[in-house]
Amino acid sequence: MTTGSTDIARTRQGIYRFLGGALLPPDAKQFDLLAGAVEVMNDRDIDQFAFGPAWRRLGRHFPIDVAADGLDVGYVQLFASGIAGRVSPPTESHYRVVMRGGEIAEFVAGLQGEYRSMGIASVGEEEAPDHISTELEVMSHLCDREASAWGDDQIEGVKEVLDLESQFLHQHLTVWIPPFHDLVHACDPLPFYLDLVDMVHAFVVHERDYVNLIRRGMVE
Amino acid sequence: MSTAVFVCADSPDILLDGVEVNAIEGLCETPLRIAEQLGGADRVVLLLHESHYDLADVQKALRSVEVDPLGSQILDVPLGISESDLEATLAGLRQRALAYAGSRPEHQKPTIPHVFNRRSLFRAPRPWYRAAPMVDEAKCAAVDGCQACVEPCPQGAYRWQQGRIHFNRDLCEPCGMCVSACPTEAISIPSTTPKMLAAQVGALVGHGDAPVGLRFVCRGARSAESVPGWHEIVVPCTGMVPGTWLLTALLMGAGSVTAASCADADCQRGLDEHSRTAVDLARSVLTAADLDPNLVPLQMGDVIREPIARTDFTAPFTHAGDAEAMLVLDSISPKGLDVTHTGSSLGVVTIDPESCTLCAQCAQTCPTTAIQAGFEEDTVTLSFNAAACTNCGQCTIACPEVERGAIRVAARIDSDLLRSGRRTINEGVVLVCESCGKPVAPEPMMDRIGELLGEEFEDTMQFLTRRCMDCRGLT
Repeated sequence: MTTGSTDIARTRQGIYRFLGGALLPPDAKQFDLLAGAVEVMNDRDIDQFAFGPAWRRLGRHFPIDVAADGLDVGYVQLFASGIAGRVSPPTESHYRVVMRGGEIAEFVAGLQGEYRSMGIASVGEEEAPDHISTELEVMSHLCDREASAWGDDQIEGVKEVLDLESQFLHQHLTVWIPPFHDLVHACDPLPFYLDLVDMVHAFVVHERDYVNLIRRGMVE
Repeated sequence: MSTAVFVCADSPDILLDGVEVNAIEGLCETPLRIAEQLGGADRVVLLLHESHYDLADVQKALRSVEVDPLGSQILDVPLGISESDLEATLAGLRQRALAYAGSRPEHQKPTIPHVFNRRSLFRAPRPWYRAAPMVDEAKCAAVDGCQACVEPCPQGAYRWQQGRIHFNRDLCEPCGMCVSACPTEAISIPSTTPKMLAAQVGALVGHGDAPVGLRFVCRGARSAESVPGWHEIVVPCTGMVPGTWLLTALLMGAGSVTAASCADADCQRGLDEHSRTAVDLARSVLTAADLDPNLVPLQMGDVIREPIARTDFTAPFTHAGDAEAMLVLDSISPKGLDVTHTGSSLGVVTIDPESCTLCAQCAQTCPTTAIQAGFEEDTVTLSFNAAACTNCGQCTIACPEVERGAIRVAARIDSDLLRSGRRTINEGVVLVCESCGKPVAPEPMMDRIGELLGEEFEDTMQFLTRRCMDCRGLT
């Protein structure tokens, strides 16, 4: 098993994609794919990272029968209709704007502008740009670019992508995921969603530190 | 909650109050082998051999069996340690591990020992993790103006802005200075909590009959060789240990207590003065109490004294515990304590009634409510409770008349004041509205405003002093 920079970037890319997929409205086919991904990711030395135990707890839920395990209903309750009157919307604008009494449109438009400046023009056309799955998918895309740059030995390219990753983590994910995580816990959802949100929280907090470490440690 | 103890194989056989000690050959090189004998334990104590293991690998192995590395205790077996000392050390570490209350992702700060370069395309270095501080906003008093964590941080990781503390994780090199400086105990490092320290010290002093010596030490300053009877209490940095903690450990039953200096760790953090000050404070207090200052020797290795007390503290190694410790010391001392020392984590506030305007900013800012303001119909009272004062100095930052000497905080331990509870430190008249009878403001405050505005505003001041906020608009 190799643990080079390319492999680590690919692992991180896979985790972002996995988490983004798991946070979409549950679909049996999608969850079958995720179950397969768990098997693959378990071979990628994830215990070397602090989020390893959170990943293990999440992985144990798979395979999942979406209907029988009540995920479809649980998803709507947690993120839309509410559990005992509590809802935890999976969108950044709720935590950054709505809870502070601001205007969503300006925030979302600004986010789309950021995506365009990263060279990701398509985001936001079909899905909410500030939905957690979208933002995790954006990070997955950046990790993909990073892995390619490592593979091509393009150190400047790596640095450039790491800057974008760091910026997005600092300005978005690590700002709103911790309060989102706390709100989900307060809603007392299905154990799967508790473990899923724990993993997202552990992962993005780790990513912020880890990406910074790589940036600072990079030399030609 | 249960603990498993693992020893790299060639250590002596140990029996620890019926707890099985698992000896594993080659544990330093293959820490994953703990999985073979973990037996469902969720806390782990590891005795390894210095420089034979990679911390990143050990932490990975712990995570693979779902044990939190931050709560696990890793001891580099000191050279020449006796069986009885090793048993006591293990008892202490085991209790410390059991007292671990868990961590959040924000508490894990990764470190990568190497740089990334072309070689890392094939083998990137594994991270290892240190316990980092985290601010509990529900407990933080920044909204009242407290910024006690800002100045002590040697990396400048804390910033106060508009009633909030902004913590820059990237700058933080976890030393714990913020933890001991925070008056409300809103900042914590999960691997070094008061409960964990109390559990470890309690187990060490309660193990066997021989008096024990304790040395607060950072990971880098640990002694490679065992000194008989002495045990090390690992903290992120000895700079975070106030002198009162040394005295607390002494009063819990240790024979001698000291703190390592940064020079022992070859550390460039520049906090050496803090650990020296802590030792000096403890020795000064002992001297003032007519007790032997060498109960807190300058370094480990001196003769271990007989314990002077065995106290069950309510909350040792906290601010409340500091005050409690000083009162215990006072009770066994032939004379009362009154020590002024820069290293004191207890303070005494004094007010100059001539320059204090009774504006009560000090009380509003005081994070521990050591200073309180009481308003009655036509009087305002400032009161002070020395047992709650942490010498954080936030009251002097808030006071608008500090330059005129209105308020002072002395780094002082005064057992009479600690015992006497809350007492009045200033009081004055509150002007009442001539229209509705409601309070307007403290008289000295209005006098001071009038003084600053000068004679040309005398009429305005006359008006302001006679009408409350509600009635001013009606006149």
